[in-house]
Amino acid sequence: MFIGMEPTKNLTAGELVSELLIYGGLMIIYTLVVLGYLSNHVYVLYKNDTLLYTLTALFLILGQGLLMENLATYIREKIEVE
Amino acid sequence: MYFPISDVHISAIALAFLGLVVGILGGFFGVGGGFLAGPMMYVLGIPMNYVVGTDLAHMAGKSVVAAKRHRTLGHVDMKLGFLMVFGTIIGIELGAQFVEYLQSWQCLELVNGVIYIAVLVSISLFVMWESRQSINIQETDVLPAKDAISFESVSKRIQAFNVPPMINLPNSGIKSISLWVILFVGIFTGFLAGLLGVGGGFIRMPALVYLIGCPTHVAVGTDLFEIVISASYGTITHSLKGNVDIMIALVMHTGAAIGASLGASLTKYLAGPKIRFYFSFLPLIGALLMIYALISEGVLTF
Repeated sequence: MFIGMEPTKNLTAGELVSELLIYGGLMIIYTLVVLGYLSNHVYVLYKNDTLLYTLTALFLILGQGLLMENLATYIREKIEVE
Repeated sequence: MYFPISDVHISAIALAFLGLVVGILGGFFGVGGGFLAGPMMYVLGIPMNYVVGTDLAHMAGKSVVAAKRHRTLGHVDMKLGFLMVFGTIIGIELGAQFVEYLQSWQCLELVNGVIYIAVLVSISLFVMWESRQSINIQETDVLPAKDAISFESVSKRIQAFNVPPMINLPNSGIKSISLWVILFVGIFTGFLAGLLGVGGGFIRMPALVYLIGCPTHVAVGTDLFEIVISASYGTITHSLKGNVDIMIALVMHTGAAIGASLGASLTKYLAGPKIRFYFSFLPLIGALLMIYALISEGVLTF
């Protein structure tokens, strides 16, 4: 390990598997919710306001990854504490 | 499943599975995976004008996840990534200009295809040869065995290039390197990426290892960090032109994010030379896909 290159967190294999399972479940729920409830609204944006559509698209895709991962970590840590 | 933006019916499971495969590759090797995802998306039935933009959108999301995971493992050199991205953007613009120039000569497809194949096969063979040698190197005083590299003399010479401003990159274990070297490597890899129309991960990752002198794990993480910026930029420009189907990108990203997270976490179980050895097959696959495309479109005949 080089100087200054410290890992902020080191998950064990078990923690990683449980986090990935929670993460996978959350990702599927998120996608189904967006496809089910927001699909038409996003399509209307695509047709009428390209700039707003672009911002929404970036928010949806970056949010899907980051928010769900943070949520998965939070849930895993809560489960471990209990 | 029907996707109204691009007006196509595609299996969501197939899209998510494709995302999972390129996600694992991306997280593990520090590449966007566009060379594989693009052709496969086209095969699945996505119109060509949506392929590039939608691929970039899913790539942006996936790279954020993988880069974040690498960050937690201590594999991202933010300083190097930020500095290099300036050169990369300049290089991409220069590459795009050169494409226009080739187009005016009516020889874009052939020249581009031949350069693409030559660059990818060269990278593949070189990394394969070097990593096989490195796997046999024993632990030295300078680097632990997991970071062994048999082609170190080039990066040492490049680091000795003494043109101010000199900077240090402690996260990469580099005491001193000229800023101009980092910018030049960024421009060079960006130019190839812009010329060849790819994200450039499979060019930049070896460049970070062999030219800058980064340990492989840091090269993978830092490359992903750069892909976040370049893919987000590409998503915005393509989306403003109406070429991004975000619903397809979201479905792909469902698999890709899980794959990217898994791939990034797996890197800690393998030494640098082994990661480079497995990586060496990726450019070869890209080259084979390009040869197939050129032959099937009649650009190359035997």
